[in-house]
Formats: sequence, structure tokens, C-alpha cells
Amino acid sequence: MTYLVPEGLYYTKEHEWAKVTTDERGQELVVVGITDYAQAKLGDVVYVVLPQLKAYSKGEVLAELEAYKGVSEVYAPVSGEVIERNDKLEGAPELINQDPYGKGWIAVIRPKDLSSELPQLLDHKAYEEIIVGHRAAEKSLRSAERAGRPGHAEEDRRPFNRPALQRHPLRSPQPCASTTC
Amino acid sequence: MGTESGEGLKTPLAPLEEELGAKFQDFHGWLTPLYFSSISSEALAVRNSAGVFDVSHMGRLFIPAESVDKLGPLFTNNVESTKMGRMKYSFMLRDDGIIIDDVVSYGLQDGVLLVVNASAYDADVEWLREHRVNVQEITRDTAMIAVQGPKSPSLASSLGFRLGQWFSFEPIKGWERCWISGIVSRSGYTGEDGFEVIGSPQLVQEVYKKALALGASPAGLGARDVLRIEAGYTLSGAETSGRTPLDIGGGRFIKWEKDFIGKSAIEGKRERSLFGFVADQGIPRAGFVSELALITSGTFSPTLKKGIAIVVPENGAPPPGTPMTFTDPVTNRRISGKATTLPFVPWRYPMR
Repeated sequence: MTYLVPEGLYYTKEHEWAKVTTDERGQELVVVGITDYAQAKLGDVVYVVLPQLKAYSKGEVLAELEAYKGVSEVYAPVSGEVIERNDKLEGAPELINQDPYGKGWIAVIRPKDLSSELPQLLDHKAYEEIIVGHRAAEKSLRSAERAGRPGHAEEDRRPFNRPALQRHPLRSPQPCASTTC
Repeated sequence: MGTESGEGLKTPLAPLEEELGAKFQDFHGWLTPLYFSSISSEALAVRNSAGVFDVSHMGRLFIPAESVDKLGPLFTNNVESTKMGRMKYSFMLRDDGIIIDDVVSYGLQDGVLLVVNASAYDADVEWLREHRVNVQEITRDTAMIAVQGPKSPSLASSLGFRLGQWFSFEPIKGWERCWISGIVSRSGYTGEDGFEVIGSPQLVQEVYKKALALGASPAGLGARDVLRIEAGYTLSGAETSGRTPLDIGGGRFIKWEKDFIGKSAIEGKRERSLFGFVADQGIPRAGFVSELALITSGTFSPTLKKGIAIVVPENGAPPPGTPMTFTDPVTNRRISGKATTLPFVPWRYPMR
């Protein structure tokens, strides 16, 4: 499975994205959401606690996303004031899964110190490397788990082999008439 | 099937499920599909149409006829007299009345089949053998699926299955003379009408594929858990853990006229019913507490679009509509809502 990592956005290691735009007066704004990788890892987002319309510091908890398996926090990728939040997520949290970079946006921040904070964020290439690293780690963890269990591969094949069937209770005493079994 | 016999066991349907894009999880030593597309969409597919679950991880134990009488003192219900073609739900208790597991028994021609929970599998087998029951472990020689949802009866007839009453089963035609016959029961764990098939891996694979071709959606254990909570059904290891049947409203599965292990510990005790909690906002989770109640299962209900939970009361269930607040003991976060009766979503299978 591949995950979307659009070019032109900024990213955090915690899987938020930040898109720099400008308002009608030419002042910088930052739109914030979570990445495609993050939504896939969470599974269905079923409830969202939206940010308040107030100032947040970089790294502060901005929003909370509840999935079936638990609650995840969304951190502010930059410092500034939240001037808008995506109220649609209250009635339709699934927008985060369906369109994480579009209709699933979470907040708009008027940044306080963008010129010094922006260089601390990742570009799409650096973020992609992080995902690849995560996935490699997951894979090697799985194979290490397997390798760590002697005889595991045999165990996997053994359960359904033929000889064990001889003590099967659902077996009828009559010989099998069908050729399919 | 427990940690001693090897972890990461795959069911016979695993290769099919991998092709279908299943996301797997470890479930008590088994690699089982958590979901295929998404938990919500699979749960709704079962409520609105039909879904098919691989439940091969459930323990299947055959007790030959000569050993069936020994089951009597080990179960709260008359498992030992499960009639041929019928099923019974029962608890197995320790001496102190605490539930070891809840099981479903199937009356077969030459014995009784017990379907037990993966979470309690090792404990069940050990307990039964300790009490000199001849237990034949057939979990890994067989497979099991559940087809659930309002469209399952028509799906069953397309498959050539005749469904009897709820909690009854029949041999599958064409397989009754085989090495392993197959059985189809009208039963399930979602509150919907449906059927479950137990049989050889080959037969169950075939039925699974046909059910999908007939329009059933593959559904994972994530959706199964959501659906059973919506239906107000208990889960072994969640509601049952450390409790007696009377602590969780299980009195109707106790035959007081017979003797069974644990009887003296619970006899005369007051029965408490489980109740439901619907959150105003957010998702209530297992372990959240209020003054006189504990949440044992909590989730988001895609049917009601609310957070819901099954609650064990300290004394008794509050009247429906009573405002309640539960606290997460880890974060101290509070969640408000109202008490309600179970199930959250009405059962729709044919009552006897």
C-alpha cells in the first residue's frame, strides 16, 4: 500500500501536515491536518475534539481524534492563533479518512513565528523517508517475532494437515461417497 | 489456541483474506482479520445487508458420547443433555463461582461439540481434563464462519442451506457422508439473523467464497466486536472476567435444580443486570468508572452514531434515562451521557 504525501506541504514526525497559504490581505496562514499515513494507521476516525479559537504553541495538543482503537492527539505544527476550525468534522469525522489533505483539514492557524518554525518542519521527501522507515521497522519487527519462535513456520502449516482428521467427531461412520472431500 | 501451542496461528481462510486486503491482528495467538475496508462500513454492511466473518479462531472441542455425562457438573446449563441438532449457551465456573468461560454446546449424534473462546481456550481444556472429560481438540482440523445480516436467510437458500430455528443446526447436504461433515446453524453474535458454518477447511473455504460471490461483505473482528456491543452481548474476558453469572445478568442460563461446580458460591445471591450507557460526546472505553458502575466494553456505534458502552453495576441498573458520568482513571477525563437498557440495537433474529 502506498500513502499520499503531496509535494508542497510541510510535515511533522508526528504525522501532521501544514500548508502555507495567505489570506486576502496577503498575510500568511497555515492549514493543518493529519497525513494519509496517519489516517490509515488510525482506521475510522469516529469522533473529533476540535481546537479552540485561541493561541497554541508549537507542539501543544491542538485536537484529539478518537478511532475504534483509542484516542490520538494532533499537535500544533507551528505556534499561532487558531482562527478557524473544521466544524464539519463534528458531524462527519470520516472526512479525515476520506480526504485527509482536503475536506479533512482540522484548523487554520495564523502563525506567530513562521520564518523560524517553518525550517524545523519536514518537506515531502523527508516525511516519505520517515514513513518508509516506520514500515520497514514494522516489517522487521514482524519477521523478528517469527524468527524468535522456533518451529513457528511448521506450526503454521501443521494444524490443518490430514492425519489429525482421523479423530474428527463430525466424521460420519459411513465411508465417503463424494469425490469432493 | 494459546501461547504454548504456538503464536500467530493462521486460519484456513487466511490466504483468501490476504487476497481481500485484510488487516490482521493478533487475537489470543491467532492472526485474525481486524478489518478489510473499515470497521464502520463492515458493521453497517451486516446491519443493512450481510457480512461474513472468519471465526475459526474459536475453540472447538469434541466430547465423545461416553464422556458427555461428565460435563453435567461442569456447566450451569444442561450441556450434557444438548439434544441432537440443538445448541445451548452455558457458563463453566470455578469453585468460587467465577466464570472460566462461556460456551455454546452442539448436540451431535456421537457426542457434544463445545465452541469456546480463544481467550480461555487453554484454561477450558485444562479444566475439562482435570475433571476427567475426554476432550478432543479439533479447532485446527476445522474452520468456522459466521454469515450475519438481514440478507443471510436468502443467502443461505442460495447456498442450498435450510435454516431451522434459532440455535439449531443441521448437517450440510452433500457433506454428511464425508470424512468431515459440515454443519450449519442458525446462530450468531451480532443481534442479526444469520448462520454459522463449521466443517472441514475445504468446505468452509468453499462456503466463504460463495457467500462473497453472492454479495456478502468480508467483515473482520473489529466489526464483530462493535456489533456484539450494540447487541448487548457479553464477551469472555471482558464482562465475564472475575465475575459470576449473577454479576452480569446470566441467571437464565443456570439450572438451579442440578448440581454444578460453583453453585454453592452463587446460590441465593442477588442477580444484577448489565445496562447500557450512551455518551453525549466521545467514546466511552472499557475501564472507565463511575461511583457505582464500571464499563466493561465501550465503542463507537456506527448504527447509532454515538459512543456506547456495556456497564456492570455495583448494585443494580439505574432507570433508563438516568444521567451518568464516567471517568477515565488514567487521564481523569470525564464523559457524560445517559443510562439505557440493552441491547442498543434491537435483536432481529427469529425468536423461538
